[in-house]
Amino acid sequence: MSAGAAGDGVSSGAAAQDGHAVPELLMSRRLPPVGVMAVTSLVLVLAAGIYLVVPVPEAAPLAPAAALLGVSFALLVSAAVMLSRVRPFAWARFFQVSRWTLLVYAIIGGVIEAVVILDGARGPMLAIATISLLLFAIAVPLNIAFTVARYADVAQARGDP
Amino acid sequence: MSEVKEREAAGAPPGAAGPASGVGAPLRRVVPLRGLPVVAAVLVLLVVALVGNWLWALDFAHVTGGALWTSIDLFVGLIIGPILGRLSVPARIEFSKRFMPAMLLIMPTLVTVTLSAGVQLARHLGDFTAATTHPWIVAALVVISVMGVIALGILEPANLAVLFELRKPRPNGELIGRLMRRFIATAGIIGVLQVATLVIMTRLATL
Repeated sequence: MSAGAAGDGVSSGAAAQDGHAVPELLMSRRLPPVGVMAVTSLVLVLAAGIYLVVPVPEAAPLAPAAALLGVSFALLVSAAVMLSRVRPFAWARFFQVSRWTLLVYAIIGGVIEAVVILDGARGPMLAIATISLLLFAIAVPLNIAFTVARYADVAQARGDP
Repeated sequence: MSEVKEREAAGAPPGAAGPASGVGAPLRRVVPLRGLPVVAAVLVLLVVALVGNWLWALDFAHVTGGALWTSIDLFVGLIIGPILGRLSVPARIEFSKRFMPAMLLIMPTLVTVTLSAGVQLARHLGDFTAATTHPWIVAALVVISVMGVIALGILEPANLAVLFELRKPRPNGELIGRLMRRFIATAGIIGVLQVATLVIMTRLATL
């Protein structure tokens, strides 16, 4: 059965030809690459972590890891700024999803942070780990909330802040 | 007045089908609340094992969590995925309504348990510093990082977007089909990477 066949309870491109163009519009909208930037930010955080583990038991210089985290942070801020300029957008749905996913990833990040502290990390190494976890706990919810909200109905997009 | 005419009178577009036909009622809850106590209990046990440096519990959590994570990824990517791809859109939607909420709780929990316990276990066993095991640990970190990026960056957002679409009275089948294809493809890639993880972990255990 094809998508949108009459009676299947599913809207599709066929429905768009009947004047119901909202789903097509949502799927083809050109939006800033917020998701790509958030995922790239996450990749940089993971790269910094791997960089620090590779020379163990020797200590790696922290500057390259800090630089990777700096770029990651800059990407997240840029993504947030670009996203804030998008109109119309399903802001209500975005904040609903980001609130809960932030909570979930804060818990996950908190568990990992506890492990890092229990393992005796102190000083700059603890700072790097904490910043990495903060970026992780922001990048993932940002990407998830953006992906969900970009496909939300236009009616929900009226929930602009 | 017929059901269709009633919906059109209520502002629904012409030709729209109602929730009662084909795909059933919209999804009521994105997160299955009944599963939350189980997740909480698992996380509490994990924290107890981590704080207490309880070696057996860490090993148990890492092995069982990793086995379930790998098995589910392989099963979904290589068995469920191709079957789902051959189903009709309404059948896919009905399956997704029951499958995706469960995955939303199961997978992040398994990933958190497996990785947290694994890192702590490797530290206890000296795998991070031993010359023989260190390269394998780095390889495991690289593979897990790639899997993490795919899971957190592509798979989980697609999962949630499908769930929110399923809450609508008339879910967009084309959008769900597109997101489900993304979900299944990434689950398949993760499944293949899980085989690499199995190779690394069994090698580590026998060094």
